[in-house]
Amino acid sequence: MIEAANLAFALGLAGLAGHALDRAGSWRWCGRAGDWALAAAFAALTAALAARWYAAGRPPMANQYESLLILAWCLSVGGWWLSRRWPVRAAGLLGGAVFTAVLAAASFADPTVRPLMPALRSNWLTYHVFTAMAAYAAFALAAAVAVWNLAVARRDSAQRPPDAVVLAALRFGFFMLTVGIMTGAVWAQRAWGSYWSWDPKETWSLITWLVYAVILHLRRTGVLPARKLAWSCIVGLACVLFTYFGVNFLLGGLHSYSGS
Amino acid sequence: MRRLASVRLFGVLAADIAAVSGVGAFLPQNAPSDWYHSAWPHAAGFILAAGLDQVYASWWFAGLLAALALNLAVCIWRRRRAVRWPSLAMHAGILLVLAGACLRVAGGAKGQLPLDQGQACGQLVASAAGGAVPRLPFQVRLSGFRIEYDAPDRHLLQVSRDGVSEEIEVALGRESVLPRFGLVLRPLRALGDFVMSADGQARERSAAASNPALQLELGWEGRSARHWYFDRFPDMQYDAFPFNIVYRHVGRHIKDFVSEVEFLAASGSAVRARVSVNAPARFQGWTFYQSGYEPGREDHSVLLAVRDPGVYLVFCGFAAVLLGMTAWLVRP
Repeated sequence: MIEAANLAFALGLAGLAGHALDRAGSWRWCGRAGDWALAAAFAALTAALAARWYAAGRPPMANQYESLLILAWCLSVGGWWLSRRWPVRAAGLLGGAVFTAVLAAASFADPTVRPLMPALRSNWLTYHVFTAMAAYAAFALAAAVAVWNLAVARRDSAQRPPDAVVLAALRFGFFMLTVGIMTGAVWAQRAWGSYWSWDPKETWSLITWLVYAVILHLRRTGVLPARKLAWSCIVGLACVLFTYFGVNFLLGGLHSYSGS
Repeated sequence: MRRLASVRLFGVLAADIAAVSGVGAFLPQNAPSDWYHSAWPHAAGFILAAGLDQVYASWWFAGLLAALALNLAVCIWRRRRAVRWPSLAMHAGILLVLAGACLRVAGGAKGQLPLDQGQACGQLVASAAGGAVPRLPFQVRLSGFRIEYDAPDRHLLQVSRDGVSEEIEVALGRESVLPRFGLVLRPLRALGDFVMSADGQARERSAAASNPALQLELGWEGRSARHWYFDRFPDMQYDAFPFNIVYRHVGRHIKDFVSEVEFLAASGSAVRARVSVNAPARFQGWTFYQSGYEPGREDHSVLLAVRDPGVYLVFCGFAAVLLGMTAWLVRP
């Protein structure tokens, strides 16, 4: 299981290197090889998750390590979508960079397979964690494209991604975050008798949700041009990162198991 | 009216709500006032005066949420003909969620119900969340409580003597013979969380496997003895024995906590129900959740009783938001 996840990480690094060489030296074959390496990384990660699911007898979504693998899996699907919607060489580079960064973060988490505590033995775990990770993946890709927009495309407008790509990622992420919060609320009502307890993770999810709601509303009313939208995506991702990592390590609460 | 319905006002309110929510997440809530004085001697006065120790129950936080609801309501009303239905559904859904939350505050109640086996009780005690603690209009009797486990415990022993070792799995009450050591073992008793009581009796401290221990009856060279071996303390050996025994406990894991209860209505009828984690039971508008237990006691359980008249309104709001948002995602 861990070997397959490590293989996915190695292949992700190879894919990232291929795309970096393609961009640095205009070696197209490196970029194509990078695409294949990233596809193989996705296959290895899928195998790692399937093996873990089989071994544990439950969905691999119970702790920080497993949720990071799910996040990386969602990122690889999102990266594929990004390369279809924005068919330039930078798409593979960005997707590969975020994918390997998440797998690198997973290497710091405890990979031990442990049985679920009673409160987590629910189908809602799958819906809640998967939707939250899909939302985080979409926001991460939106922010990666935003950074590209600010850092590289500013000098070369031909490299600039269409705003529609960023907005589509934001919209999908917002939808998934909403579903994630609601599935969590329904589950909390069933497990603890309260759909909302102002637990730090709940509170920071609400803050993140409000930040993206404001971004989408301001964009809708034309107050947020491309450059400000890019900065907004970065601010939004900072909230996501705090909700995902910061709360686990600094604030604890009902979701404290997710930091283990 | 236009300002009241504006996106700018929504932005300001969302930023305010996010900011004070963030403060509430960082600052411990509902602690005794002495705690704030000892933790932040210079800021305690301001924290307590501003209500930052109870952000989510403060009047000004409720005011911010009310202002957000007003902003949404006026926005929906003014743009009801100009926008598509998904947008209306999303915003109306959020209003329903806020309305459901208001109903919970106005008409909800919550309290814990500690029960001993066979005991019937209808008086709730305050839970950590506080709030009104009424008497139930019926009684609840605990018929039984049990802790369910994934798989039985496994007890592994590593026996070694004069550089030779052997690992065997033993079962409670079953004799195991190790001919090469001339040793006969019989496990008498296993405890997941061993503790010695004041009267010198070994007993279970909790349902968790915090200090697994196994009591063995040993027979060798015509001698016999009884001893406890501890998973966490493998170096604890007995010098009188010519061999070493290291005990390893492969622990069971708690799967569920289950309370069998009877609801005794005022009319005299009784309804049996089962309450477990993630599977509450309902009776006469109240919902009962498995909330706690007392380690070492399988004749005692703690239930959480909740009455929330707004919860279905909240869930209807969720459905409206999701319906609208799905349509918005498909056709932005």
